[in-house]
Amino acid sequence: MVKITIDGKKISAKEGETVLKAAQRAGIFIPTLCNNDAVKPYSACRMCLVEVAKNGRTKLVTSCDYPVEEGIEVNTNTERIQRDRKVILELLIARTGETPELKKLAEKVGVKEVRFKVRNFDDCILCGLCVRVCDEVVGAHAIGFRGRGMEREVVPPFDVENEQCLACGACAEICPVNIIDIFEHDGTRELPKWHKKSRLVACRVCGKYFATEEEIEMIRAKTGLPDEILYVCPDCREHNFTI
Amino acid sequence: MRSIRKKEDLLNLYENLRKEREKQGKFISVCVDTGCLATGSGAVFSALKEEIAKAGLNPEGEGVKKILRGTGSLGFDSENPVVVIYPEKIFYRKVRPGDAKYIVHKTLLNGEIIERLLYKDPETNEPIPYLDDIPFYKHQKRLLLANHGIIDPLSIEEYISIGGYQALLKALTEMEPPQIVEEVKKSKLRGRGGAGFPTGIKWEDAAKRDSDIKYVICNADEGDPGAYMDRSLLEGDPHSVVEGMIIGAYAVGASHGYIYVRREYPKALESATKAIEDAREAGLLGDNILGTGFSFDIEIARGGGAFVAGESTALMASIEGKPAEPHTKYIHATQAGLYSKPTVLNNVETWANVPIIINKGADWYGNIGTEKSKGTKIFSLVGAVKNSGLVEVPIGTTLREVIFDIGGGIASEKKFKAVQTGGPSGGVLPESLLDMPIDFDTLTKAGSMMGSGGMIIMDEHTCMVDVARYYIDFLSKESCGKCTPCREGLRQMLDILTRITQGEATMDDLDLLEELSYVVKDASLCGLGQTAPNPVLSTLKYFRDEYVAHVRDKHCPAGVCAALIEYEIIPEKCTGCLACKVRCPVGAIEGEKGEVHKIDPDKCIRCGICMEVCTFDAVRIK
Ligand SMILES: Cc1cc2nc3c(=O)[nH]c(=O)nc-3n(C[C@H](O)[C@H](O)[C@H](O)COP(=O)(O)O)c2cc1C
Ligand code: SF4
Ligand code: SF4
Repeated sequence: MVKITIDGKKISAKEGETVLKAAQRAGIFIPTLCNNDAVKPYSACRMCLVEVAKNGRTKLVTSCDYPVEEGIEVNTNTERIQRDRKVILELLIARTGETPELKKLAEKVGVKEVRFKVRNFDDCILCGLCVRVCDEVVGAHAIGFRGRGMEREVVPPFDVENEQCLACGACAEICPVNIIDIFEHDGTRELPKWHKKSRLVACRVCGKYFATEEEIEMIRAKTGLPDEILYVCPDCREHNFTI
Repeated sequence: MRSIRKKEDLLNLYENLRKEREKQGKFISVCVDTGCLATGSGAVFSALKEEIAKAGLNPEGEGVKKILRGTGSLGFDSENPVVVIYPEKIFYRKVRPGDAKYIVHKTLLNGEIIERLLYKDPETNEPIPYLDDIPFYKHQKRLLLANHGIIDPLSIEEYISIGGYQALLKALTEMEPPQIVEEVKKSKLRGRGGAGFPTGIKWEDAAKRDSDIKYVICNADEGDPGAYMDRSLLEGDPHSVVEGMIIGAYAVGASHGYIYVRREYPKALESATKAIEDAREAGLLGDNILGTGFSFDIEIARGGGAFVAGESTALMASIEGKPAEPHTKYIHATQAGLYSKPTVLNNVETWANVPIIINKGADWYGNIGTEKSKGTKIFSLVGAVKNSGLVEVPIGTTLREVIFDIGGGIASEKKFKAVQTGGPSGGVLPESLLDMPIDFDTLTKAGSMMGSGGMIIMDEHTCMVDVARYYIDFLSKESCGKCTPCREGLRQMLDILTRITQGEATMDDLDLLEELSYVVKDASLCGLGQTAPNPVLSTLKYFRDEYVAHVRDKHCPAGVCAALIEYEIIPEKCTGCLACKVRCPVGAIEGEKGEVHKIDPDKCIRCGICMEVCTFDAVRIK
């Protein structure tokens, strides 16, 4: 156990955990956008900045990846932090226009107006969650960043037929601003953003579509399971229905 | 060349090479680095070679007994191509290939000085024959650049002949690793890559780590536009960097090293590669160096091609084959750096200081510089200054000394206005700070920084808002785009600055610009974003009036911002020659031949062509 203080509250944190985790467990709110427990911290959106005082010196750190240390004093809501947070959120809204997700967060951190020119440049806030979930969790490495500065964007490889993508939809699930569309029709699943169209596989028991062909093949390659299991949807499997 | 297996081998080799070299005391040196070659020094070198051969001599000489040497740069770029005749150090400037036969016959063979090739004192117009008497050199202290001009950088024998690798010999055979770390700590050497972190402390932390493998890295990414001291060092004296790295590796217990060379530096890459190969062949890299049991080798890594690739975490990611993108470094590289192993990353110039410190000792070194920053620093002096080039001075030298004593002041009749130090994210300092000593802390306190040592001189015809806009434009394009404040913030700063230069901003915008600057500085992930607002904050601090003039009076005091200036013709000077009228692309100038012309401000697009073409100085900015 590591003893730390957050906003004056004494907290016992777990060895090796991040300040953000410790704060969340203690019920202290720190806004985040690019953080998700499913993937490694990325410290890119900078919403989770906090002040950490150690040996009489104060520094600004991202709580999502700053490990707790014995005796540190964390402040999550100083004037400086509030200013930085608000401006960062204003910048993001100026980029994307006011989306429901950002609007909600804006209310929470007290952004009253956006003082920058709203450019509606792109809906994506470049949090990198989709890229990371695809790399770290799915293991497909089907999307990545391209370009720098304002030109940065998330793209499928070479902008052509996307062979790595399994059309699993993990990216759409994790996207904090819900901009990755998934369409399913006539036995296909489509992710237009990644130039991906996949055939769906129907459960051999109940007949419902439950996965893409690529997903089945990936599980087959990884586990070597026989068709009798691979082509049965999780629901039917749970109820021990077999072909 | 013979392999050096033990202490005596190196000592003997040095003795032999030194004696051999002394047999040919008189020689001609021509700078052949990238910068000099661009001014035509290659043709001068060839012409000299031909003339020497015609005179019946062997231009290349045997081994280190050379009559003609192609060397690193002497730094006086505005006078290139430069030729120096040793041992007197007769300094010839702006030499053309056709001068070669005179230089060989008159100066080399007969000791005669050719006056028309000499540098002239700008005040007295008196020719100055010898390098050491020229103001540009007289006020410098050239330690790191000492070998530029006297050795062929591509020859390890040349380096050894003037005492090269003696520091390594001393370190490996007379000192224990902790002693070396202590010596470097005591020298108070601080990193020359920008942040000025104490090198000895970095080494100490890496040395105490327990690990199966440790790395040392030389950062030669040098992405600052206008800075080229690292290129010059690698091209002109690569073995000094290699020697520094071997000593550092021994001190911290590293077995493997990298030199990370900027992609656009083919010649630096070539000389670094050659130096590593030669050192390895000689036995100074590889297994059991000098028979001490210490093994270490160096590899070249190619730069990622972006400015941010020089940032420490991005650089290490790049060597690992990942995208050159920064990440947070709450755990220091000395604990977990390259491949998560203890790593010491230092800049080219930092490494080049190490042999000097070991050779001469920390006490000697400590006499140069200020209390907290020791040694010399190389600056690239460019812009509106008379003498431009690379200059090396003790840290703590004042801006005035560098700009006026060495740089010769402003090149034209105009007045000095400001100096920008520290590269694109450095600050702009006004005339009132000219007597400020140049050191890490003083510059930072003044809102600028040492950076890599860029120094850009600006005259009174420079608009400070335009300057700030220029740098933010550059940095917003170089931002990797990973984190919000840097990516989006710089873009918005650029937006506001552009509006100011176009007379479309309000006083609220000025406040917003300032607030945003502080947030970008505060909240950005890496050093790029954290320093990027410096050009804005420093100009706001020292030249706020100029911003206000743009915003409130819609006026650009320096007469630079096209949208805010008006051209007019001075009736008393105009001869009615039609020169401007026929050249104006939009037909905004009226007036018959022989009569005073007039510019219609509504039609004028402010291209400034009229002012350029008028031979009577009759066009001015209102
Ligand atoms: C955007 C950015 C670019 C940098 N580029 C360079 C570079 O080209 N060369 C360099 O030596 N250091 C560069 N640095 C500094 C390095 O991160 C690092 O501090 C330095 O190489 C450490 O060496 P030193 O202690 O010898 O200075 C850069 C830093 C930032 C933030
Ligand atoms: S698409 Fe969504 S998840 Fe992916 S980077 Fe953009 S905002 Fe983040
Ligand atoms: S500060 Fe700029 S360059 Fe550095 S990580 Fe953030 S976006 Fe990239």
